[in-house]
Amino acid sequence: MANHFEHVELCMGTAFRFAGNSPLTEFETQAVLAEAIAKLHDADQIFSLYKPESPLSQLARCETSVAKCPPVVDEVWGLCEQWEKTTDGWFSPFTPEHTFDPSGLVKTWAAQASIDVLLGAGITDFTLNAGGDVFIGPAVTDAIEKKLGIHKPVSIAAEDAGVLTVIDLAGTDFNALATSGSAERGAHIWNPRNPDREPSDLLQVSVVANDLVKADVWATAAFAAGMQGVALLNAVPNLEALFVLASGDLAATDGFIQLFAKA
Amino acid sequence: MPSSNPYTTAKIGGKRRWVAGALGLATLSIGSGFGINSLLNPALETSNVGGDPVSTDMTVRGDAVPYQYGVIELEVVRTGGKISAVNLIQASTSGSDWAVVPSMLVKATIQAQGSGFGNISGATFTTEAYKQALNSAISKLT
Repeated sequence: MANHFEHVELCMGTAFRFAGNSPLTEFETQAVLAEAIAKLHDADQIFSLYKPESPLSQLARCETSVAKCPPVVDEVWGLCEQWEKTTDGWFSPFTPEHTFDPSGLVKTWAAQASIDVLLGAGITDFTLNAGGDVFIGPAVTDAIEKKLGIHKPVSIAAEDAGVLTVIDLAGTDFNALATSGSAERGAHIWNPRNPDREPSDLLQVSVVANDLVKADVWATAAFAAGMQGVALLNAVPNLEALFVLASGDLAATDGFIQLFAKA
Repeated sequence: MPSSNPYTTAKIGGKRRWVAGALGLATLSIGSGFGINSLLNPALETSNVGGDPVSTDMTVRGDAVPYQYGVIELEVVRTGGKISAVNLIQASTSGSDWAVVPSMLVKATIQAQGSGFGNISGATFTTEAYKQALNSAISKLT
């Protein structure tokens, strides 16, 4: 009855994997997926700082203004400012060089837009892995899909790549897991409160929340905050986090331990 | 940063940040003792690999493709003549000595999840690593 689908889309320099079961026909499902994927590429065209001609690249070179950019630039700018306030300055779209770089938000912001396309079309039993940040759809019933691995703080391409641990979100309100760290792209997260300091004394932060963007932003903020991130995230409601310290030790928010997958 | 990543080196002894509760859970979950290294080493099962013995369906795993920081490995599933799934193989630990308490906890939780997991979260990986590993797996189908 339900059509199984799986699609991997390469975009923003990473892979987005949609997988699940659709109540629509295969043809309709593919059309919905195409629309969802277009959201990702639209965002990439506008916000990529790797594309010299993107509005954001032009903005960074002071060749244009926010007012002359597509309206979503202003929308994302506003969202970034909100998150900067919410995270007490630990998440910031402004680089130490004073340019606007919303990359910390755009991937999951665009992923959420693609999620909304599927949900709006009635596809609710699916998961999305947005280059390492995971969303679980509201109608996912397969127990295994609620179990999520957290990768060790090394690249998935590393010789000792593998799973650090597994958590189970069944029976919780959490539907998103995001990880920030230096394993894949080096030290790309700056310390917005003190740009001259080392970016972090952490290797990795994984955050579970009830919203994909929220999980992603807080993971980035906590990574930038370093060891203070544990206290920072302990104070955020409806969120849990696992930290891998530079020493290799682990730390976690108070409630995280209840999420570990049980036998 | 990978070369300075201390996580891959032995970390035994010293102060641990885990609370007593974590140790308790780990000890409880480990149950039958320490013979669980073997559980960490087999390829993890995936949720969408079918086992139809009569068709030409098959699952092949690509070579471990060298990449900037090491290797990456993917698995491709062919069903009814079409590629039906691409799975990122999550290689097991190579037996490195992890911090005592976290390692018990980690091993316990990996043991506990048994049949695997639906997705994996990590720092944003690159397209290049993904593509190379995919090509390697697909070439083995022919």
